[in-house]
Amino acid sequence: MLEVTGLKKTFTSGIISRTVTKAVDDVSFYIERGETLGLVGQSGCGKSTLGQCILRLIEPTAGKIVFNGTDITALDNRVLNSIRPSMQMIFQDPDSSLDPKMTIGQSIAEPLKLKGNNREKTDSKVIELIKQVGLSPEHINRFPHQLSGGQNQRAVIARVLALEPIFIVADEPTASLDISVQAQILNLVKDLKEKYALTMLFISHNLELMKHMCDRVAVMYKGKIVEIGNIDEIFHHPLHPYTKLLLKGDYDPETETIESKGAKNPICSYYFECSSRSKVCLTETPELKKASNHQLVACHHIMKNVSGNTIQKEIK
Amino acid sequence: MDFPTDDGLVKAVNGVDLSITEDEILGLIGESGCGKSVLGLSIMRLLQDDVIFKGDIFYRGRNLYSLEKEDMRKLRGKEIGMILQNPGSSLNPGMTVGSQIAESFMLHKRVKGRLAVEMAEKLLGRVKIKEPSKRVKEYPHQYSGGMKERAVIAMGIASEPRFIIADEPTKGLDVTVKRNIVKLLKEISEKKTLLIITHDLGVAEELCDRIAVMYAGELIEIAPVTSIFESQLHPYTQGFFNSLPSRGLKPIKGSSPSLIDLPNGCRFHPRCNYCTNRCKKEHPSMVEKDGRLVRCFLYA
Repeated sequence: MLEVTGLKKTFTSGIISRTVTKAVDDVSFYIERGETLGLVGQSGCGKSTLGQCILRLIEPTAGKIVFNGTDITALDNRVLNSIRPSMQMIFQDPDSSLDPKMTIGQSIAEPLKLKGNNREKTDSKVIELIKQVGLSPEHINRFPHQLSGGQNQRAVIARVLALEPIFIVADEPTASLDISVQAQILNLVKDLKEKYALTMLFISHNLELMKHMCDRVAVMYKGKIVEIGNIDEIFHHPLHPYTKLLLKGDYDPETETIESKGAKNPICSYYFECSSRSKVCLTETPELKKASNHQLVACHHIMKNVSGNTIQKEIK
Repeated sequence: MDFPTDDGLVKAVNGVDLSITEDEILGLIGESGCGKSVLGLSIMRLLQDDVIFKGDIFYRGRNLYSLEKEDMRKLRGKEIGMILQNPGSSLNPGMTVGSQIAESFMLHKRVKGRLAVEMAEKLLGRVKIKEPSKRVKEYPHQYSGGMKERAVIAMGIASEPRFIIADEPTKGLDVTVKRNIVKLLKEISEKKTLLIITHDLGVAEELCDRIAVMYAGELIEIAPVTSIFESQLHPYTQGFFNSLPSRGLKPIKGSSPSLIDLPNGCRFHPRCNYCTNRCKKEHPSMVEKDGRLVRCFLYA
């Protein structure tokens, strides 16, 4: 369904002293039809940028994105617009992704009208969608500020569904919602995903949510994917030290960070916070390598035992 | 605590009876809009003047609401510290972090300019901000989210208050950063009394001795932290815990009532699975059950 290879996005800032921020740095992965891939990482690690690059809402600097058999990396806007309806995005903050001057009904109707539906069909479709996401027809004439965050997020989901997408990027859809509302929205997303056989990229910083939502998980750290694998493997046999930290968190990176001599620019971005760092991390890029059948990890210290599938940590 | 608005009276906090003993850490949990922040602010008397307040708040034998404004101001910060939520907007963007913290020293300890800033620097070190001598001269926008939270915590504890109210200290922070903040709070909470307002159950479990659950402006369950994480008495507390991702992500049906138009009887009855006719008419009062307090007819 979706294949991403070598995707990069850099932002440059400053006129005199230019600084280059690598938001997404050489990322490759795939998502199969009907699958949900989770993307976890700290804020600022580039996961939202990656999500938007895939839909080309942000233009990637380098790399290739193949969606449903078509290479969309270099498509011009007109062709892209014909593909866009099938790939949609649910944004983080529902309150700011709805037009405050449009009623909920108008917001949901807009994509339907653009698709060329006549008025009657649009109206009946809006009611159908509103019911599907668990709102009632009385909400159609309300404005976003009259509804709660959870209801607004439902409306956003209805608007996304109006275009009948086959692929959805959900960027922390419940980040601003309460725990019990979060549970409602996530169950809704899950049900709709089943019903419409959607493929999904689910972005969150909460690993616990991944367990409920995803088939596979990719862990991102400072613009790179450091580990990717099936949900069970990531939870039961995390390999990369960062994944382990996310799951357990029994040490404090801020106090354990040390800066040793000559290690100003280590190649491995996790160097300073890593408990198993060594010289090789300073000079060689850890590539994303196969550690077992479905699990890939980018770390020099996780070596595959030649004889079989057992994973050994290099002893230093 | 009622707020007059154009749409009617918002009954934000209703008939709350709560006591915190010395050196205790009490967690106040509930969903947004249930009135938990208002309760925190009301202890500090930080709400606007048109708010209708009924009841008493006693701090070490003194009724806070009968104090003169001037006396209350002396108490604020010095005796009762507050760690405000959302450090992004509770720090002044036009002042260096150092001078913001120094303000508290100048006010309560009557020290002058440079010495106050030096004390602020020391305090930044205490809340584990690296290179405090450099950071003290920086502005909030140069700080990361976790560091801003640390700075706000530093402001809250600047004058060594005995009682600290922390309003959502981990909101909007990453998992790893959150853990560090919880660790810091644990350190500063030694020999201090804390009221921690949060909707993060993990944080509450880690830090608190006792938990009070709030729903639609009233307390519905108060219990020691170990027993409430083992079993929840009130149906709302049960639902709240079950909607956690680690406990099955099972949501409570419906949504919280508007605080202007509260349901009759038990406030939770429209969403409750155990609702009876009595729940629809009568308002339950707090009853004791196994050393815990719960507001539900199931235990009456």
